[in-house]
Amino acid sequence: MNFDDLKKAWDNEDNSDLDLTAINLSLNKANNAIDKVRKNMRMDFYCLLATTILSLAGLIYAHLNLDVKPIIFFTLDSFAFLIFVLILFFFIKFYKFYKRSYHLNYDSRDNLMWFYYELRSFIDFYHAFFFVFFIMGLACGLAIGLMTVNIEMVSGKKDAIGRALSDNITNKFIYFGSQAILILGGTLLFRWMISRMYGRYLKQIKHTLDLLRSDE
Amino acid sequence: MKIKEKQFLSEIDQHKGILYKLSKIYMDNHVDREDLFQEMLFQLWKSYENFKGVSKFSTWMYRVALNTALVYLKKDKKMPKSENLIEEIDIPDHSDHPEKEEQLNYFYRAVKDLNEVEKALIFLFLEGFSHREIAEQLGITEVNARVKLNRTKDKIQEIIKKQGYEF
Repeated sequence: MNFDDLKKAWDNEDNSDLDLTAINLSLNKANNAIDKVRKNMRMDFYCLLATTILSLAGLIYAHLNLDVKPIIFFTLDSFAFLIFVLILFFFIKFYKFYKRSYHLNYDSRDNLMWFYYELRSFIDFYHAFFFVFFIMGLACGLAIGLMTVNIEMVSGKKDAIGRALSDNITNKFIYFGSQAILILGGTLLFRWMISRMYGRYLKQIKHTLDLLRSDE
Repeated sequence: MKIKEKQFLSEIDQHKGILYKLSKIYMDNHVDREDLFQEMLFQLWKSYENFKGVSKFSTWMYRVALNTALVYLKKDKKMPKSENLIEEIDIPDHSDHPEKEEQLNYFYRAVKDLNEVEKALIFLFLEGFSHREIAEQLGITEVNARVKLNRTKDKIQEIIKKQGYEF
C-alpha cells in the first residue's frame, strides 16, 4: 500500500447510507472548547447580575430600615457606587467578548489565535476585577469598622469591634489572621474557579496553536 | 421545516462525506463519531447565516467542520479503555474491494495516534487539497504545511508497518 492506493480507497469509501432526515438542528447542544467557555461566561454573568441585584436590594433595605449613622451610610454608598461602576465596566467588556467570540469561518489558526488572546486578556481582566473588588470590599469593611469604633468611643461605649481593635495582642492576632486567611482563601478559591471554568480550555487551545506553529 | 433549513440540509446532503470522514479521522468509536458529526452539523448551521456564497459551499464547509473538530471536546462517557477501541473500529464492508477496505482499516487505526493538527493535514491531503490549499485552510505557511504533511505521512507509514501491514 502507498498513499496513492490509500487515496483511491478513501475516495471510494461509501457513505450513501448516512441519513440526515432525522436531524433536528435546533435541539443540538455544542460541546467544544469555545462553546464551553461561552457557556461558563453566561453562568458567570447571571451569577454576578444576581449578586449585584441582591446587594443593591440589601443596600436599599438598609437605608429604609436600619438606624445607622449617616457617615457610615455615606461610606457604604461610596464604595457601593465604585463597585457598581466597576461591575458595569466588567459587563461591557464581557458582552463585547461574548458577542465576538465565534469565528469558525476564519482559517484555523486565525480562529484559534483570536480566541486564545481574547480569552487570555479576559482572564487577566477577571483577575484584576476580582482583586479590586475584593480589596475594595475589605477596605469598605475596615473603614466602616473604624468609624463604628470611633463613634462608640466618642459615645463612651465599647463593642466587639472596639475590643478587637483594642491594645490586646491576641485580639490583633485574631483580627489580622482572619483577614489573611480570608484574602488567601478567597484568592485560591478564585484562581481554582477560573482555572476550572476557563483555564483548561485556554490550555487546550494553546496546545493546538503550538501544534500549528512552524517547525521550519 | 423552514426553507433555509431545508436548503441547508440539502447542501449538506451533497457533501455529507466530508463530515463522515472527518468524524472517522478524529474519533475512535461509533458513539464519539456520531457526537462529532452532530456537533459539526450544528456549528455549520449556526455559521450558515455568515455564509455569503463568495466561496463554494464545500470550501466553507471544510473550514467550519475542521475548525469544529479542532476544538471539539469528547463528551464524558464511560467508555472502554483506549487500547480496546482499536478493535472496535469497524469499517462497514459494503465494498467490492476487500483489500481497499483493509487498507482503510489499517489507516484509521494508525490515525488514532496522530495529534489533531496531523489529523487535519492528512484529512485535507486525502481530500485532494494541494499544499497551498492546506496552508490556507489551516492558516499556516505553505512550507510549514508541506513539512508537517510529510512528517505526518512518515508517521502513518511507521505506525502501519508496526501493525504488520505492508506499506
